[in-house]
Amino acid sequence: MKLLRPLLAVAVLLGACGPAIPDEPAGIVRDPAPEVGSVSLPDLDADGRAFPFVAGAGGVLVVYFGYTSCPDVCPTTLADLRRAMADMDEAESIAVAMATVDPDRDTPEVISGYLHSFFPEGHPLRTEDDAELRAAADAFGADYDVTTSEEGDVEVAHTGFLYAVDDQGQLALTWPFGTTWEDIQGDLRWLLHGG
Amino acid sequence: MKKMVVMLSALALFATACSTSGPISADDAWARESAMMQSAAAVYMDLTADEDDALVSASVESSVAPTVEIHETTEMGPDDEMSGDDDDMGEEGDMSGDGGMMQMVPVEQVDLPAGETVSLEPGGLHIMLLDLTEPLEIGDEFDVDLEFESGETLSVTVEVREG
Ligand SMILES: [Cu+2]
Repeated sequence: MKLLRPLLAVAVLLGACGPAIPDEPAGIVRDPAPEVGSVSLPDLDADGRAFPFVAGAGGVLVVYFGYTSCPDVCPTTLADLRRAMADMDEAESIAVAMATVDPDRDTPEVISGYLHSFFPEGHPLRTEDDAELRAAADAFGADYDVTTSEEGDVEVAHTGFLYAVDDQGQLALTWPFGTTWEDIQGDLRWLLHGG
Repeated sequence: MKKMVVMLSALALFATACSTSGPISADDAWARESAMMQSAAAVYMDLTADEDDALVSASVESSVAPTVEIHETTEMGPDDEMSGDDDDMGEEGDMSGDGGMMQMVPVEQVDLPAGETVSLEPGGLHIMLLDLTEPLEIGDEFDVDLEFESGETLSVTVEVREG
């Protein structure tokens, strides 16, 4: 029984060190890293002021291009990101922004409410100027297409990537759809701890 | 005759209650809780049929959603003409293998080869609920009625989870 206490101490110590930081990220590193810090989109949480794609000092900005009437890919990705950040001590150094690629249906209320139910502090980004949205998406290598079928159904196609931007405005990592939350968490640690 | 009907309905009840004993089983049926303002949701599950069959339709009570479709999320190849250009993807080229965008398409049926478990899962097949009547909240349960090519039907209880 006396043994238990030192064992516990070791366990606590191990816990304090946190889970291992991967040597190599699971996400895609593009070389050279695309520069995204010079583009911005209006932030609905800041009265529509331009939100540049740059993380806070020493932090990470995670960016997603999606739409709310997407029941499969978008909520899966956002829920995985939320899970990845849930038990990270470093979560406060991580900002999240989601730009809607479907501004016609995603009114300011809709995109804000949607993003905030995943991330209360998340930045909902929205513009009705397609050239502005396209320029932002292009900087990331994101793509989208919104069409209306003959039956009047709105159909949206979009790249399902999640992006991590560093405090220099460089696109540090790209996570393809289906990256596990554990990999996202490991990669976030890798980025925050000087990967 | 009456006795026969009673027996048959008893049998039907039994079959529903214990979905694994029927010719088709549905396991681990779930839907993610819906976010605020989210109008559509996806239902996932694992389907296994004893004999070759196919899922041909799904429905839910209108108190859950008025419209239900079977969908598949697919990655579009580079040949599918879409707007935008992928020229600035850098040395890696198209990062996903073909640079395709993801899109949901309705499917007529989901083939269920005998004895093979077919998963409806994120990024693949799903039963899509359109125009959700109410938000789906963690712990909620609702039934999805499935119809198969063979005429078989199955009522599956879906559990709403965090996902
Ligand atoms: Cu769908």
